[in-house]
Amino acid sequence: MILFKNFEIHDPYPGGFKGVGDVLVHSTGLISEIGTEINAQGAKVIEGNRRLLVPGFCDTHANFGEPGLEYRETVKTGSEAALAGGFTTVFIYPNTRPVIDSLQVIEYLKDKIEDSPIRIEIVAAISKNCEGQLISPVKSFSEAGVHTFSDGNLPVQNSLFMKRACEYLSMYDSLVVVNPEDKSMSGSGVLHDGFQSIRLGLPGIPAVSESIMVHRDCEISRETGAKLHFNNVVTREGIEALAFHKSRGTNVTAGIAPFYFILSDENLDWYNTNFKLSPPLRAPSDLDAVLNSLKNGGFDIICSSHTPQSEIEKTTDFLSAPIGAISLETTFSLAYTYLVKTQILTLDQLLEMLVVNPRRRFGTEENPLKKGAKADFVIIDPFETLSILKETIHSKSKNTPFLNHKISGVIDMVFTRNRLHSLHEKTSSDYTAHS
Amino acid sequence: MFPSRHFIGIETLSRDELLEILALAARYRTLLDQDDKNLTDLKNCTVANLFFENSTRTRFSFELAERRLGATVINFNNESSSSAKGETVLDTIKNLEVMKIDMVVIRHTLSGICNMLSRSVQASIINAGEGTHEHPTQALLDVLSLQQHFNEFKGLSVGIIGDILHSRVARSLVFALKLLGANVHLIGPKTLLPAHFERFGVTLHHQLDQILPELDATVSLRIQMERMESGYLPSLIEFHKAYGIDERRISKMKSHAIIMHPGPVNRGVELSHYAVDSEKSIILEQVTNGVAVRMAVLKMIYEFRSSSL
Repeated sequence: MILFKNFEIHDPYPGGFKGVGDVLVHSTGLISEIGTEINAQGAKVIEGNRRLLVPGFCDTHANFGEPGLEYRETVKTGSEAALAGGFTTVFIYPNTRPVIDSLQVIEYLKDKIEDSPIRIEIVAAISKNCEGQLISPVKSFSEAGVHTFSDGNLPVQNSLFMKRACEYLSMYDSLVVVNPEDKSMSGSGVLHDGFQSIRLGLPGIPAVSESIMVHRDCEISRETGAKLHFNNVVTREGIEALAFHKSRGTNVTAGIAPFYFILSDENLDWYNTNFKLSPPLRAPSDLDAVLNSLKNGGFDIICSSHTPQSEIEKTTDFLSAPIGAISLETTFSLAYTYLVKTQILTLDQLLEMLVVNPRRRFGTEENPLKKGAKADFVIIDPFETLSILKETIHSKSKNTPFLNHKISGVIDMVFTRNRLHSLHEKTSSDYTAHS
Repeated sequence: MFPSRHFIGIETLSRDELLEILALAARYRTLLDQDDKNLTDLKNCTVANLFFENSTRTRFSFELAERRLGATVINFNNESSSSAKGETVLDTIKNLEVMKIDMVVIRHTLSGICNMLSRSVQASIINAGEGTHEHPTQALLDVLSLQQHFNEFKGLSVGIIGDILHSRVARSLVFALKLLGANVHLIGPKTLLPAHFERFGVTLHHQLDQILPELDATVSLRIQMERMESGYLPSLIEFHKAYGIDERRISKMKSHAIIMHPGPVNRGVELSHYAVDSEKSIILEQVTNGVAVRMAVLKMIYEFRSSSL
């Protein structure tokens, strides 16, 4: 048994425990008691020292490299990165080689996932090879436990195909996840179509390439009844479109990754390819729109949009470089630093977007801090700061625009799947509640 | 002194640095008119010209500048590898470096490749035109030509005409002219002149005829044929009607105004035959000035390398 004593407990679920208290974790990995001044004979005691204890986070948008791109990220390294960021559940996307578009790949992954210290959920492709031509066998995948579908960074372009896919997916109550981008409009673009693309002489991606797709897929969702979620809506136009369709009662939600509530294209460091993201960093006015929308509850989820790319692949010119940045390890701290400390969100609101909403919308196991629930929580030192350094990154890839950034709110420990992980000690001090 | 190992763009230069390069270029320009044009300043220096995109004038101009300064020169012209990505070019240059190359003059279709290379190599990188980013030596020769004609930049109105969006010449020239205090007018169709250009502190025009009588100099940019296919322009004829300099338009220009073009000219498109050969045209003077400004850039980088050893 382990007794977590005198922590600042913050459970964002309605009626959840808030305040200084103790959590006693039984050797089965279940919470046997939560409250104040718990005494447990023989339990190992961990003192709070003003640290936060909150439920484990759930990431709804991460790319790992299995199968086929293991040099970027494996299930193992990705899980370590997730733990370091306080994520105990992660949804991984199908843009792999091969694509997650067959039962074979799903079974292969399930095998890998079994050994992970965290819960990993598979997002399967909407279409074969994410090519937007053949619909995935949704019934078979549902029976295999996959209920979330997305073509990831290759969103379906043909509108009629999208409508049919949504019709089909809605029969199984699947969640359709879209990275909204009209590729015929973004074309060969590599960054936001604006002053910086002009200045650097790089082809731009117009803002309307996003809003057009937000409108299209919301209309299709209304028409077909499919449940829709957007990974990142980052333009003013797209955010307005989202708000419009939400106000009409469309069954749509949206996530946002830290890049898009911290950076704009003005932060580009010349042709530094770690800033090449999809969607691209937009203009400062778009960043303002994102922050306003966050304040007004326009976003439902904060996700990592973790996209590892090897250093070798990123060491090239901006046009040729692959897109994306890693983010699992820093999402909470960045959000805490740039949203909570700046009073854009309360801690409670942030936790709703990292704990409650992701699990509800994506339909995965929930573990509130309650007696009898599985112990699944994160211990955070809100007063500590650290710098994001290449050397301390757990992910196999090191591509992040936040290198050398200082962040507050450091993840100290994670308890999940009956295992306590200490994140800042060199030696592996992991132990279960048995010890 | 010009404070860099590399010469990648005008954007990062200060006004004093730009003036210093121009002053040295003006001295070299005088030298080019003498019988003995050859110097030995760079006799210990080896320069590689890497042209991944076709060019006759710029390549000859650089090579002449290098030889006039006494450098050892090697050439690599590989248009067939014009699609070579950044990492491939980086490998090429790393190979050249171990063969003791001091400077690399590079032309490539990819914007930002010089910046990328300069982060990873010891050899000096000199931008001879990259993608749609900058073509800094072209801007230098343009401002040197303007200086010869007008002496002063304050109050001077220069119009840059045509495909601004895809022009590395336009970007470099805007930076240079703004540093020197000239009034810059960008003129072209909306598809090739997005509103964001305004942030450079320039004035945008979509109609040439309204602004033409106020200009002291026009710089017409070469139109690439593929612009029609991508829907930027209906046709070359239409472009010429709207933005071409011809006899009729020359008659509307100020009496002292000059016509410039970075070359090669599509005759009958950006400029009519009449305009190319008119006495307002200084296109060939620009070419001579090109050798002088490239000599100045090479010399200044050489000095920097020598002093930082």
